[in-house]
Amino acid sequence: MSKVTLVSPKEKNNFRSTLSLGILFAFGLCIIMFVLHISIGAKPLSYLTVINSIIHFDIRNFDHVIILKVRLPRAIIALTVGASLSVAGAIMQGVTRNPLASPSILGLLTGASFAIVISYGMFGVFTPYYTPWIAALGALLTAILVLTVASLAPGGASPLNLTLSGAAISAFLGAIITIFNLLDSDNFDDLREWLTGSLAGNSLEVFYIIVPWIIIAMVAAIILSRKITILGMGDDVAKGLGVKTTGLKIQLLIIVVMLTASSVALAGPMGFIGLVIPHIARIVVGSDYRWIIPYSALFGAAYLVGVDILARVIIAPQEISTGIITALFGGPLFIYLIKTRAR
Amino acid sequence: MSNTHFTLRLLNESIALKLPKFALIIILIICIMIVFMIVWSLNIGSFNLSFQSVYDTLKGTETDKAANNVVWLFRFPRTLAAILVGIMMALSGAALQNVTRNGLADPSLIGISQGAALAVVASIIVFPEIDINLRPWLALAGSLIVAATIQWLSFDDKASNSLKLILFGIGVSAFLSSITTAMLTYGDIYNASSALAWLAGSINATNWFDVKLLSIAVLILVPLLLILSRLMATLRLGEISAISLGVPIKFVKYALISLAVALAAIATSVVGPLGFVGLVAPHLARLLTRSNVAIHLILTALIGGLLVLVADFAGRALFAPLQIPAGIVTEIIGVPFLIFLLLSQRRKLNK
Amino acid sequence: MKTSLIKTAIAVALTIIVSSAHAVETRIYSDDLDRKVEIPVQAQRIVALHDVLLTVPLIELGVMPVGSIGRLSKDGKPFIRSGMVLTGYDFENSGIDFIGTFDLDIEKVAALKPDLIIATPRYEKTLAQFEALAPTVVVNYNTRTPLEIFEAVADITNTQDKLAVLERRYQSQLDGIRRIIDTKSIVVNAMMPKKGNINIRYSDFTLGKVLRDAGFRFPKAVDDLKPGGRADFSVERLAELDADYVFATYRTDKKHTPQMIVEEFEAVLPNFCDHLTACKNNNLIVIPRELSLSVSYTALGITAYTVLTHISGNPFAAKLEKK
Repeated sequence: MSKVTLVSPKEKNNFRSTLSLGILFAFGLCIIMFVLHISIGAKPLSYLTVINSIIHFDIRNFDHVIILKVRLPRAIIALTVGASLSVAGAIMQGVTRNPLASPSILGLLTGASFAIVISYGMFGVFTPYYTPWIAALGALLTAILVLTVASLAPGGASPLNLTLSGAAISAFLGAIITIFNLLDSDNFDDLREWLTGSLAGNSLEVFYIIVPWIIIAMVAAIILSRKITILGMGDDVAKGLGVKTTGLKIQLLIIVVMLTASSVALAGPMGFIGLVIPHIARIVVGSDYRWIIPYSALFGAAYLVGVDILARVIIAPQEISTGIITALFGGPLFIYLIKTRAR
Repeated sequence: MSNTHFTLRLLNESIALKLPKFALIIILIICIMIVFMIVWSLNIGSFNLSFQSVYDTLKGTETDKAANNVVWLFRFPRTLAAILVGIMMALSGAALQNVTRNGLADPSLIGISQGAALAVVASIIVFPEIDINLRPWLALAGSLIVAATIQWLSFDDKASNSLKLILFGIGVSAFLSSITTAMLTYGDIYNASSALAWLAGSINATNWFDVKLLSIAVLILVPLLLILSRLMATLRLGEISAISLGVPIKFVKYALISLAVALAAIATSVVGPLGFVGLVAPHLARLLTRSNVAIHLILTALIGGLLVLVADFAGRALFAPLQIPAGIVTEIIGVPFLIFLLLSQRRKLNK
Repeated sequence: MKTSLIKTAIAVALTIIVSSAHAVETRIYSDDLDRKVEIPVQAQRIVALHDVLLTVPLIELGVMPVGSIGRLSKDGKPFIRSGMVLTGYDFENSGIDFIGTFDLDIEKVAALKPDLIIATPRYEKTLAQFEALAPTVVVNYNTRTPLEIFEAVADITNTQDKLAVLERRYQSQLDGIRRIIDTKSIVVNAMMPKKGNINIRYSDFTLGKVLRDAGFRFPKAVDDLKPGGRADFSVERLAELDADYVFATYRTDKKHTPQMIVEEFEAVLPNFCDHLTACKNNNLIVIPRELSLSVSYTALGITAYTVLTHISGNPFAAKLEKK
């Protein structure tokens, strides 16, 4: 998966400047998507209104409220979730050397859903204020469980062991979710929308609480990115190069869980972003994680905002859950990527 | 292996089977357990029936209509269907494991069940007017597409990589499940909740028609599977000599995969996805005794049947009148087993 | 061998059905799946395969079923949804036996020795099993409105007289609304905040029926959904859903409060009250959903009076200019 290509220093320099330019380009893409997102919606609003709402916001003006209180939070959350899940996926794939590693495959998203379903089924808790934290707790506990099982297995947390323990624990939690849903079809009706991941109806209040964690995790990811590249060459190589692999893996795990749990808290279980985007980033930049991480973040952000625009306009005036579109797009894209890239 | 073999000579020694006595004893024990479970299962339920009246009903001398119904229309077909479905899922798993040389290949783990599930859920939710009797075909089509996709994905220039097969299978099944979830989200709540019930793997609705369908499938597919598996084992002795013998190993391989898929798909179309039976049964069989392919498959089939029978019985009787679908029970049994396999790395033992 | 066993079983079953058929008076009923079923004229032991949609109407029609599907409360106790609040009956005080949740225990049904089973399309595949126990008719909740379900139940149980009485009571309740309120001049709507969207229905069950039957007008966006239709509207199009009076409902079975609905509106659109005429004029009316969701004349009556008191009890608001 991650071979280090040998190139001459000169070529390397050229490549590097191209990549730096590319970052700018990707950033530009994010901004374009962002602007499109807050300009397009169920109610047609002119760009002038958009600009006006930003320059002199009037809380009594319905259009201004739509732009700044409905579309803007949604766009910001889409950016954040897209970036977080992609970086989480990229790190997981790097550490486990497993092209399939991602929050959904390793059971983190099922863990979050499980926590929500149980807390709703048992205590009837389902409010914008508690739900994110319950989901995050579920993702965290599942991550720890999956990792513990995988690393206790002979051969340690190998790609196969991780994927399998992820699949096994997902299946188990899924079975219990099904029991709950079957016993109480009203709960199922209430929760099924949430269980596919949705960007709608989130306020920035939760976002403000969560965003510091995401920033810390992102910065840490970028700082550790060089070591991830080395880790990707295999534990032995990494140890030979003086990297303390166990400590590094624990740090990276914490980063992944922070990013995933935050995303679930913001938008519910949103599948396939963490799986697909890192592959695309790798096509563009190769195997160097110093580039993969920022590219994944930017691509992921632009991708999810774009998908969310589609979710809002495809069957306008109604909306589709964003999570469904990410799955419908992500699945085939993922199959294609794996087929063409995994050798 | 010691010399404790029992040789079965048929037709003037033109067919001779060498059977290890230990394995035969185990097979006998499991058969007794199955018979015991059948009897138990016929006697227990929310409808109180004495042992005597169940016996009379079976003899045809019981005249109470309700008793006849309960035994003949509910308990009996259900019990038989559970055994048949268990046999099919178990053998499907065993065949997949055999072909891919991967001890973790299970129809529910690598997406084959999910393919069938997606096809059927789509028919329940998106096209509710589709005839129920088409379900087996839809399920089969869904499973075959998934099996072909996974084969195509994991196909390498060199050998087909069994590790990759599992990884891709899990990826594909995650994708399929998310589409199924999407349908459950957007479908009408009434249709969605009946699809959900089907998805949980429930044997409660099986009737004699289902039993007939399943028996035909078992009678046709299982002998084929046994023959091909033995052929496969012979070929495994040395692939080159097999090629020089003119036996198309690829043909045997794909035929076996198709059989495994067909078994899983037909079983799934009748009762919904039954997770992990195909994983647990072959491994339990191997843990009990290590023996030749034929014995192993027979043992696997019996264990599968017993497993699903127990799961269905537990699901319907434990919390009656609340019903826990058998698929949920097998999943709850199967997952700890998978984790146990992972931790003990038993799959290394698989050839 | 197996087929011969089946044949024997069927033969035995048929003989019994035929011989017992002479005992009770029967008639042919054509159900929602176009099946012609021979049912008892006056069924005595009915098993209902849906609680809110079938058991509650049966009780209101004065026919106590012997078995019903139910739900499980958090402490694992079965209950008939809406049963207690609308009819005063639940499993423990009615003699109705719990036969399981929607994945029911068929043997439990058999043990109740029913003479009629009222099913829903959910059990289409297993109808043969139920047919073996008793004549089984299907009431299709996908094609019938809640009150049409009520009519079907009355038809099946031969209790149209009772239904006519309930219907007359309801009509006089509607007359009460129309006498006080000029319903044609008032636009109403019922909406639910739902994850960034506003969920609306052409007719929100009982509440929608009362509002439409009383002659209130609805926003065009709601009328455009055909009867039985529902949609999630983006909150951006809130203005199209605005009305003189807006109704919202909260879950009583989950012990929710009206305040929680207000919070959900707030989550969908900050300061939503400023942007919804009805709310600005203090005409957002939050009522328990249990009433609105049921197939019940009791619920219709309570809803009718709720509508009457909320709108006529606020005589100035109705006169406010309409957009």
